[in-house]
Amino acid sequence: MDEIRLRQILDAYGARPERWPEAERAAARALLASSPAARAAQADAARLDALLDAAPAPPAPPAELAARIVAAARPRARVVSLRRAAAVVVPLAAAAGLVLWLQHRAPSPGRASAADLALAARLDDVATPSDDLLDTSDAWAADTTPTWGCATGELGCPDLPTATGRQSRRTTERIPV
Amino acid sequence: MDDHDDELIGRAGAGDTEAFERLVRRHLGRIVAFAGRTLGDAAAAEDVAQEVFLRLWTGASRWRPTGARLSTWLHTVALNLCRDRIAKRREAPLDDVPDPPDPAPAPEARLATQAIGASVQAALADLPEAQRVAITLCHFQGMRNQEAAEVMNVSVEALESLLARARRGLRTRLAAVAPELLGGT
Repeated sequence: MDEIRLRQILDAYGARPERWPEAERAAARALLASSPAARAAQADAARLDALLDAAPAPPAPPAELAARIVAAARPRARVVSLRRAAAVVVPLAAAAGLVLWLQHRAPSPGRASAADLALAARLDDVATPSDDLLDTSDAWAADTTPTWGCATGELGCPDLPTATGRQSRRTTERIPV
Repeated sequence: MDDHDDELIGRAGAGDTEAFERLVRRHLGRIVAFAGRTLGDAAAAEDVAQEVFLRLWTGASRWRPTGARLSTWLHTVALNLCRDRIAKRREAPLDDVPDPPDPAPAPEARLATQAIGASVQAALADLPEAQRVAITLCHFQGMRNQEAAEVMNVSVEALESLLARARRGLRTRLAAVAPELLGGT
């Protein structure tokens, strides 16, 4: 630290080392120990410190102020508690209302099952575009199933072609008797 | 003490008024003193202190012990409230503004210690607000420079500049009152 920086510290923080920036305190003390000019600057700062210390201390707060503050805090505590309670109760009430409303509007399980069954029955009758193409070309998906390595009747293996030609479970079902 | 503050804040946040009261009694004097020096008005300082602690009470449940000192937070809130009041004073009609302290050189009789104190107080009151707050925090409240800078929301360098200008201004004003005490002629 040089004397310029020490003067800056004294000008800003005064003469007492405990008020100086902690990181620079040791260097400032070392410079003071070796420099009469630095000590003169410190003494000058100490005179202003002494004048500042002569300023009257602000009056102590009246004894009842703390009690007054605590008394004023209590009503706020009730407001805060109500707000906290509302923050929990309102969303719960809204959720409960939503559940009741949905239950009221939703079809009963019995009716839902009947509707689903009817829909499923209709879907079962619908031929997909793939079915139509296969119908016109007389080609069946089972034809593409590899048969190599399969023995007749083995689980997962299609039935091998018979003398009448290609077969699949679907063709068997669809051939008119 | 600060760890203890955190514990008390935690209890106050859960609605423990006894813990809150202990915090109030521990810090009230310093906050009233700070607001008093900043505003130069004891009654207004008490009002500010009351609002500071009520804000602590309502915000205690959100307090997180992240290393911040309660003292710093209290001073920051107090400073903001003081600034609001100072701004309102500026907007108020002149009739409502209290007479400023007389910075004129005092007669011989006022060179007693009490009179010097009054002159120092007047010189402090005459400083620009930011300089007055800086010297109040560092000299009278005994805050470290980093903490004072945090309260004022300025850099440490800016704080140092404010302090140096404040002390220079005080020296100039007080040289007229008590030159011998400042080493003058």
